[in-house]
Amino acid sequence: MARAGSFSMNRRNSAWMERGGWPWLAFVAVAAVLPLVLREFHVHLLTEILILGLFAAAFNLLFGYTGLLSFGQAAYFAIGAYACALWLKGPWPSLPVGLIAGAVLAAAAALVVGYLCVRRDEIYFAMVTLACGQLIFVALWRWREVTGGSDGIGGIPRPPLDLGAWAVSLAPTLHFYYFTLAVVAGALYVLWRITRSPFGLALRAVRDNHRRVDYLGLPMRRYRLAAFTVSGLFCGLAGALFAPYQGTITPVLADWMWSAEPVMMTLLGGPAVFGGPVLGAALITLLKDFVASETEYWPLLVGTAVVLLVLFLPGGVGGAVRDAAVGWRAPSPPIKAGDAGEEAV
Amino acid sequence: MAALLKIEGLRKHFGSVRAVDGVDLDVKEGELTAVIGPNGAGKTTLFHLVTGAIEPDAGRVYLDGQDITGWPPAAIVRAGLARTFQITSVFPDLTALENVLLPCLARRRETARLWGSYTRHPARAEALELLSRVGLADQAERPVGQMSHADQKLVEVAMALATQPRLLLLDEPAAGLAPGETERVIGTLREMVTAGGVTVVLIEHDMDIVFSMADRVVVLHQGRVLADGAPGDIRRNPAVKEVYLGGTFAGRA
Ligand SMILES: Nc1ncnc2c1ncn2[C@@H]1O[C@H](COP(=O)(O)OP(=O)(O)O)[C@@H](O)[C@H]1O
Ligand SMILES: [Mg+2]
Repeated sequence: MARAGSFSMNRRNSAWMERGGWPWLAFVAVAAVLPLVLREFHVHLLTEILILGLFAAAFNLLFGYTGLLSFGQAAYFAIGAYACALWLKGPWPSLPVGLIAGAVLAAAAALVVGYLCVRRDEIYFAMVTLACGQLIFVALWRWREVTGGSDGIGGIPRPPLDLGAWAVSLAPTLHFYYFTLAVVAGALYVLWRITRSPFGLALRAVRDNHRRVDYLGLPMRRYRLAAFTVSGLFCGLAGALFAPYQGTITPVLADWMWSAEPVMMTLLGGPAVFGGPVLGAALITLLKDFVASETEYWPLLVGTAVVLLVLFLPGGVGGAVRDAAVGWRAPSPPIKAGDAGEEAV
Repeated sequence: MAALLKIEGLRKHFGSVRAVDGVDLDVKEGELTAVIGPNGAGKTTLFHLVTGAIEPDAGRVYLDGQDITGWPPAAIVRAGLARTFQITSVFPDLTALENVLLPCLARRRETARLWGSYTRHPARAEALELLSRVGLADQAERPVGQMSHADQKLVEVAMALATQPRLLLLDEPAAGLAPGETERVIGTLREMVTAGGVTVVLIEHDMDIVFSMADRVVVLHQGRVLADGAPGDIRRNPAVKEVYLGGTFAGRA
């Protein structure tokens, strides 16, 4: 790539804006400023949104980009959380090491489970991922000496972040929020780049017509397995952030109920837009928080809201937002304006 | 010259149906071979067996002397054997360019790269060139699912060419195309074979095109090779005449 003068750098930068730089800038700017005007409780909630947003985006690499519905992603989230928690309670507590350990262990588990799952299609794939996820759930529950059984692990510390000469405490909610934002924004950026890479194109081809890719020289199962492993890695990273965020973790994190969370978030936010799952995570988390303080029937209300939105906004909220943004930037698009809501490709 | 593709005693039965029933065939490098035969003759099944889509009950397949029997389809493609499908098979949500770009990237072993943008990859120029070769350059950015059936078939041909095969198997590439289109597509293939570098075997029903374009015609009937030779010899072959006059092909022969 030519990086000769400032002129070409500018051209590159503006091209970057054209190709989706604006949403990134907006996301980071809003996420950076928002906690300054919120109460501590809401900053705490915002941290959770970021973590679950990463979880849902990692799930969507499989669902929206590869065409695989996994009902067991909670298992990798939980493995990441347990690995990080155990490391933080060990003799050399370090959050970066804990995060890496959680992500890598989760990816390793996903590699093994994925090997069994990628031979199956559609609902059978969902069932095998669900079964393997439940197996990991039971393992966390039974392996008392390490995982604490049904009590889980409590008192997970947030060791200060060692930046050479300077150690930043992560105990204050705001500090931990910014740390989470840095990790999640970085991880989302990597995921986004993956979706636009040659590998990402191969995944979209697998989603579109998985029987065809082999006849172009691409072993389809290997690509599914790679997608499953990468997804597991980022689910694990989200889980690893979740452990010090909550301070306590239990095997419930590996349960299928927890696997359903990113599914709902993605359907609500829109699987065809990269930021859709993150938006869905925000909406569901806020909805839960708001409704739960009003009524004990909140799961019913949240469920109804998801069903209605999925029925009437098939591209998800993210799809609608993107179509609106596209329409705003190009006032008279060549496509029919009438069905803009359906065109969430 | 040694055969580029050598098929020995290939057999596949589906229950009592003898789809392919002991086929021996050599395809020489640099030829355009047409496989003809009535519906159900076993033409498609033969292609499936050669490209690894299904396992044969018996027999061997050699590509350039190498035994590829039982190889996974992707490995066969990488060894230099590409194909298209009778029932058009493309990626409908991807654009025509992306459909062709994918095999270009795969051939360069770039699809395992998780970094770097595929939209600005140098292979893009190559994919565009292939699309213009089948006359679709102006539709490069359209999702293939929105294109006409005939154009989808052409995209599929471009996809197969993108793997830069030494041997290309085309299962009814002209079915559903307008008469002028048929001649253009098969004419393009004819030129490519004549120019060298690729060998083509195609299944085709249009006898005029088969007899004017092919170097060699293989007639399949009930899973067996009924006749095999130059177009002129096949036209005069009494056994072929009988099959075609007695069968569903009477009108077209
Ligand atoms: N998967 C299959 N299962 C059972 N029978 C099949 C299968 N595929 C093909 N056949 C049968 O094998 C015979 C040959 O089919 P095919 O190879 O598609 O013929 P052609 O392409 O020459 O029209 C037909 O009788 C067909 O019904
Ligand atoms: Mg056929």
